[in-house]
Amino acid sequence: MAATQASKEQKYDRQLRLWGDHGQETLENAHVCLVNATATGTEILKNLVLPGIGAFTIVDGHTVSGEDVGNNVNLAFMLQNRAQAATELLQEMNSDVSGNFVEESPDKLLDNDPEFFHRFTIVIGVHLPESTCMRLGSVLWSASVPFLVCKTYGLIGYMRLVVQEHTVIESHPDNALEDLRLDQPFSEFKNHIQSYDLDSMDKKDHSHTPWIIIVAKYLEKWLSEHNCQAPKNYKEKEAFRQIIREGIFRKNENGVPEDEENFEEAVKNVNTALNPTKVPTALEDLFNSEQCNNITSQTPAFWVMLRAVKEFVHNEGSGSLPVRGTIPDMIADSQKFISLQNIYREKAMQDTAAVSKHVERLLQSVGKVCCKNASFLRVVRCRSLAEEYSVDSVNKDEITSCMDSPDSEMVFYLMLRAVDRFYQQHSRYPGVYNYQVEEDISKLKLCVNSLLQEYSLNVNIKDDYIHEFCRYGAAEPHTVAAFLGGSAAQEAIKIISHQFVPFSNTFIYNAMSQTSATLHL
Amino acid sequence: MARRLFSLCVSREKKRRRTADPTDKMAVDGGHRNSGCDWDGRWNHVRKFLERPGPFTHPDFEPSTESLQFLLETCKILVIGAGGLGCELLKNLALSGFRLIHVVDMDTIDVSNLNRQFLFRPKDVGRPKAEVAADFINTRIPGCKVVPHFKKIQDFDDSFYRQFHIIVCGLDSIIARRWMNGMLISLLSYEDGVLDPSSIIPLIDGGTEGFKGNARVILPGMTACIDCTLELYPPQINFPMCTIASMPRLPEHCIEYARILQWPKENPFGDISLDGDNPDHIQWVFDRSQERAAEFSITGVTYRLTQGVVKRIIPAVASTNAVIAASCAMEVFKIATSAYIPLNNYLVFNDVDGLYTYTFEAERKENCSACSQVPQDLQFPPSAKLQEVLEYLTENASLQMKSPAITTTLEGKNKTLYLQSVKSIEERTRPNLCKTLKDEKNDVRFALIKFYYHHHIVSFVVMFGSDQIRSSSESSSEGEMKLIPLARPSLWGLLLLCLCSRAEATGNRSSRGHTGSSQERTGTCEVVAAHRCCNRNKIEERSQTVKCSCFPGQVAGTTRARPSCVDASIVRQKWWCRMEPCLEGEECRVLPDLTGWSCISGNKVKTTKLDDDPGEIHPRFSGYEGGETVFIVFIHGQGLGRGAALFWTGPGTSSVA
Repeated sequence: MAATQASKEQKYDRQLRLWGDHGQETLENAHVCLVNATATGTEILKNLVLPGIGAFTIVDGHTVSGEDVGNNVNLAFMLQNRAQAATELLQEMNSDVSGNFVEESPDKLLDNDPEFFHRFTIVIGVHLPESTCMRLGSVLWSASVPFLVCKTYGLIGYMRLVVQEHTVIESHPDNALEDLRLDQPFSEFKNHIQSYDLDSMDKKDHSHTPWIIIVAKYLEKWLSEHNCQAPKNYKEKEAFRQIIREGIFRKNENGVPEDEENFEEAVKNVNTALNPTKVPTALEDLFNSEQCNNITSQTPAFWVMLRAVKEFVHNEGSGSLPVRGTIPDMIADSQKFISLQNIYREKAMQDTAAVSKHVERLLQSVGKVCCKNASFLRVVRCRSLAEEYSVDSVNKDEITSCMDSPDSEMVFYLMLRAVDRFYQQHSRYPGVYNYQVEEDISKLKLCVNSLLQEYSLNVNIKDDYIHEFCRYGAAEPHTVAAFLGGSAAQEAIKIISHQFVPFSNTFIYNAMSQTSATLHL
Repeated sequence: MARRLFSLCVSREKKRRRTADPTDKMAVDGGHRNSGCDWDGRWNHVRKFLERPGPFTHPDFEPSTESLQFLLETCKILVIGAGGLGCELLKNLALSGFRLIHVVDMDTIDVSNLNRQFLFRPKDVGRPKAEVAADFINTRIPGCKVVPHFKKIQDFDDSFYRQFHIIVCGLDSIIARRWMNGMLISLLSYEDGVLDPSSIIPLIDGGTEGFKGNARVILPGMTACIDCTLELYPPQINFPMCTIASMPRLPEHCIEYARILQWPKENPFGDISLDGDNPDHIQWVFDRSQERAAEFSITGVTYRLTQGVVKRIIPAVASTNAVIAASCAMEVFKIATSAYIPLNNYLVFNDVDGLYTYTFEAERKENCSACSQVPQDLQFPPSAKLQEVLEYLTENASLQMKSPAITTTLEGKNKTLYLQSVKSIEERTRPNLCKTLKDEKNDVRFALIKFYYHHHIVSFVVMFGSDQIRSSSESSSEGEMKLIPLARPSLWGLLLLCLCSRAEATGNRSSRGHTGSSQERTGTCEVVAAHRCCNRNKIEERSQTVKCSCFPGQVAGTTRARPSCVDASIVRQKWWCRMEPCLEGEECRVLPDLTGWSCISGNKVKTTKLDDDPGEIHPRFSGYEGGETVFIVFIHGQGLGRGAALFWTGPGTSSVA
């Protein structure tokens, strides 16, 4: 047993470095449902099977066709049920994953057993006709099961995330600012600063004092001379930098300043170091939201924790978030660095304990809180498909403002909607056979116009796009399917692991120009 | 411009297609390929793009049923690397109709590959990647003929590379990329200084790192090459030796101590070098690192981190590889078929926060040491030592030469001044490094002039005496060395530096490509609309709408009164003056409530106010009564860090100037 654990660690090493053991655990407990094992569908699933999701179930009533085998590496033989054929080959790819299939169309399942879909961590629906998509969407919406809709149509990729609310504690921001509290040093930090006396140090200690201490020291001096106002604008900060520069060690009174890298670091960091400590606006909004303020027995853990963090801010934190507890590496000797690091670390642990107390009070049982992520907590909310499609609640502003720009990917969204409409009317896609292309152009144009009319959209769609979509003839080129396969799989992983931030709520990929856009619909 | 260039490239494809036709017929007649494997409907998804006209195709595109035959029977593709990208690329190409594919990879399969390299199974561990990958594809995709090469790219010469129509790279090293780049540039032929387009082999290059990746199209000699954009690669992180040796602070410092200092001293497993794939070795380093960490009260040394530091592991996941490989294969398809205009020429992808792509045209460097044909002048002071020249060549961001060999011509003979790659020569020539280029005290200038470029040998001529420096037009065409007479032949005289940027197996610079995280260049902004507004209180309001496409980590901002991409942290923290938003001579002041800034010169105050949270917000206007001019700034678009292009409305260039 231990051996398999070790081999799993080896096998998944490269991704464990991204989402950690706890992220991997959520993946291994996930059960993903794929509706329709087309090239796009199996590519998505392949990229979930490889990193080791717990289980998948494919729902597909189709029989494998020659076209299917032509663009799908996970189908090898024709005339089998597509769900079964794909399950066999995907299962073979990773023995840690359990694969299941249902040889039935999603419509039939929705007729007979809609609750079938409630069991999944996420449902991925590929190439669904509009009517099926809406039905499945409403079942999943009311059961709060995340739904990812994907489609490859010619050189256009489309993804829509349908999730009522998705909360993220570990959003792993790329350019996070440090949380140093130089503007509001906590008492332990203050005492620590006091333990340094830059003036009486020898050269070695002086040049190995962490820059945080240097900035803190000169800031104290500055505040006493400037009416307790920290340097704010460029000019003041430049002056502040100059003061630090003057502090560089000299052999004697009129000596030449020595090279001190830690002082150079201090000067370089003045800007970020003087960031006022404050609760980010986005987080403030979450604090004020309904879910945060009305904690009930049904409240998900995320909101309880958020509320606890809020209580902390208003009480122990005196307006500030819990201390994150990490500092960047900087020039310093080991002892000075470690003791400074410990000041922050211990304060963070103390704050975490305080927040846990709040959680305890709120829950009457201790919850585990990641206070160090407090600044980066994120909530993603999507609109339902019903809202997007309803004439009353369609996001007309987004559509028309995007369509003002000639190259907006929005046009492809509208085209895909028109193609769905075409399918509804003709029970087939436009331009599938060569002889249909010409006549279908005018038919598709009618669909475009009726769509625009129905939603009273005053936008112009060039005939070129209509022609291009007829040319596609519902083709699903493998490369576009593979692009979507990668990106949709990663979004599913974000949803499952509650790490990193999913897109919201519609993504369009244009392989012709290799561009993409995220739309709010 | 790009379009014209590209048609040249395509003409080569067509030429090849014509010449290749007869042999193909023979091949088919001879039963070389299993023609029966093309079952009904197999290529339907591909044919629609080849046999139907369309409004967005490449201007040279002609719909034809022959195009598919060209893909199936003639077009020859080389895939370099059978790893995360390579496996995906082989599958993507094979399912897009390419059958004549070669794949080169020198590696064998490791357990840690299995989370993304989907052509491999646990039973394949230890076998050559290229061979297993080729077997899998050839078995699963009938008719496909993947030819594996379990070799280094350096094991092949130009005659091998010349046979391919297009080359796709899925590599994890910059050195290997540069080698390939150099090879393809060496295949170019110039007639009277004009590039012969039929000598171009397009290079599609992909790279990934965690959730970030890039894909690019390189037409050697025509568009930006790997060396043109060398500055974009993030520098390798190396810890200063004194930190490692005497004042560790991070767990990484402790691991490096064990690896660099303790291992060679103690040689725990005999006289063998540290092998990152040997668990006993890693365990030893891990144990020593823990001891060292305990000594300095440092926490956080784990086995996983130890392995990561020792092997310089780059995190990787199936999804990012799938995305980047798909983009690369798409570009191969476009170039091979002319079905669409290829990417021009660089795509950045990042899905840490939402899904973000950005495409831009990387520019050629006028004096690129690999592809420009333009000689470079490098200046050194008279007192410069050879060591300094060497350091410049290896460390300068745009040269970054790996073990350059430095030779000189003395009285007509080539003489090696320094050569790093051969140990005995290195030892013999090392004393030269301390010598200055010239001992005399008069004002002598040194210049290195690039003479010609040949595969992996870049030559510069070093001359002294300012009167001797010729203009770059003097450089001769490739291959021929023209030596300029010496001013003082008795001295070192003419220095010829042969810079062999040969990729070395030991080079382990860990980067899988440009990922946008450390880009120095800013994105581009274009003016979409300008407004000059009426006003009520003698306050002039001007604004213009600008669309900025910024790199991850950047957002739209203002610099010198022009729209620009600036560091997101500046905007997030509202340190507006750090963007240098004002014109020269104006003083910048952040408004007291941090909602914007003023540019002040004399009694003229120009104020720009932004919404409270510029990240995610809707247009709002605030006036500022104190000044003569008010600009309106709207920022709408997506939240900070969500990365997509931001729309920006702000003080316009024309209205201000």
